[in-house]
Amino acid sequence: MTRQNRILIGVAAVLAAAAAYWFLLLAPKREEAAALADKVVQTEAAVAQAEATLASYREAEGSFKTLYATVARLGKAVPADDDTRSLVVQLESAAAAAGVNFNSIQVGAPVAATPGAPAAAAGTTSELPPGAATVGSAGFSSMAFNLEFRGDFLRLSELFSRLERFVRVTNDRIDVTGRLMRVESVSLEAADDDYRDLTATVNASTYLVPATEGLTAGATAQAPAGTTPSTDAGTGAGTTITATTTGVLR
Amino acid sequence: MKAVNLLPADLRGGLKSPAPVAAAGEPAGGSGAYVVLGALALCVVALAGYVLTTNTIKQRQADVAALEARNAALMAESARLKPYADFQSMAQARVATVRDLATRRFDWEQSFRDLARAVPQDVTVTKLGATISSQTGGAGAASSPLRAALDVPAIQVDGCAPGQQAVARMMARLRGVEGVTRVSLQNSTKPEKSDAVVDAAPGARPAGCDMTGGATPPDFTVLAFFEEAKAASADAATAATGATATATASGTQASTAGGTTASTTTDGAK
Repeated sequence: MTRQNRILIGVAAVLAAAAAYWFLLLAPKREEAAALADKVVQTEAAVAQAEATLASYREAEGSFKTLYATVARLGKAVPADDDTRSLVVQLESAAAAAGVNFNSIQVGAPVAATPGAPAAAAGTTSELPPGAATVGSAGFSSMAFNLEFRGDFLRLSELFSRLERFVRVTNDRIDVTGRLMRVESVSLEAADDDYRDLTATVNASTYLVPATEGLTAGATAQAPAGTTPSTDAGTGAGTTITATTTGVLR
Repeated sequence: MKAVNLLPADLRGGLKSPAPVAAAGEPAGGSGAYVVLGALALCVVALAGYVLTTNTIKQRQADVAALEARNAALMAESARLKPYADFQSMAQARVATVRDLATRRFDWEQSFRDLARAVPQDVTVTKLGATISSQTGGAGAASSPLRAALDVPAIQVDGCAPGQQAVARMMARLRGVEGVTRVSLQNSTKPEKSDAVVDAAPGARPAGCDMTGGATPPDFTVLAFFEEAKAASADAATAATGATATATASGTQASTAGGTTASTTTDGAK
């Protein structure tokens, strides 16, 4: 064997060994390392997402008591059931304050969606009281009432304002002193015996929270439904907020 | 004197005849040592590459395991706190819906007061019907077919006036009411003399206008539309809760229907 052949055979052997090393030994390891690098990146992203989610959840936990108070106060504006007893009291009170007579109230026909109001959330199902229909993104039920009042023109005008003043929105504030009511239509007609004595027929919508959620969706003042009270829950035990509280929501 | 070679015996030949050695080729152990050294160096490099890659794999496996453990802990904590987030979502949805519903209401009191100031003294209003949209039904719903043309708050005024000119004057004054963008006449008809009440008793409700002296004052039906109120409430609701399909759909309907009432509209939109 000549010297040149020996060199060629040696070079070929070295190349073969290098190729075998690369393809059989190092390349699979490098692929495995690259796959693991991708997995690390993905897991880091998942961890970052979980941390962000957890941060928002902790924020929700921190603001729970405030939100609970807000929901409880909203219960006066949007109760869990038709609550016509308090509605009648509020209407009578508003009528007396405006100086008109509150003649009658009757439940109107169910409206599938209050005109101009937000459409009902998809898939919202609830057990509605008679005369109610689902409306709004929060799954509220709309319940229409036909009301009849009697009085002079200016006093009736003031009454219409009072009916909608139970819930007032001023910038970021929502002032709740009674039922959320929206006057859909008004008809004024003079009485037969005196043209100054007007009969006002008002068609107004009121709203109820979803029956499946109830007023606070099963939450207590300490924790929402499905959780165990936290260790500092006892500090808020004394802050009982009822649905009849008149409050200012921010 | 005898010459003495002080070089070691194995080096004496190389120094004596370097040219013949090169010509005869490499001695057996000369370049072989370099080849072996090169092979060893390659083996060391290959081994180092393998070890480093293996260490990288182990490090990354440890990283993944640690991250997955952290992720699992975070998920467990998130699951514990999720009811708080659900409650927050529910509360925010309720507040947004209440705000939305409240801002979409119409100020009937102000409109009625403005209307009362705008109606001329010689015009008698027999009936007022106000609806917040054309789709509104119920006891107070207006019966005019014109009302269905625009899905905005509107007040329908039924009454009578001393003459057609007084009806026109009243429509012009209604156009000046704040928020009114369109005043449309449904009809203004002079009744037959036998249909009207002549010399109505003081304080009694007039079924028609006073027809003393053979006058035949017309009965009219006029609608005042508040298109800006609709837009304002939609804007407020959008600002409060984000864009809603309802507002967009209503606006489209209103603009489409606007063309159908052009012939009966006495005053253009602002």
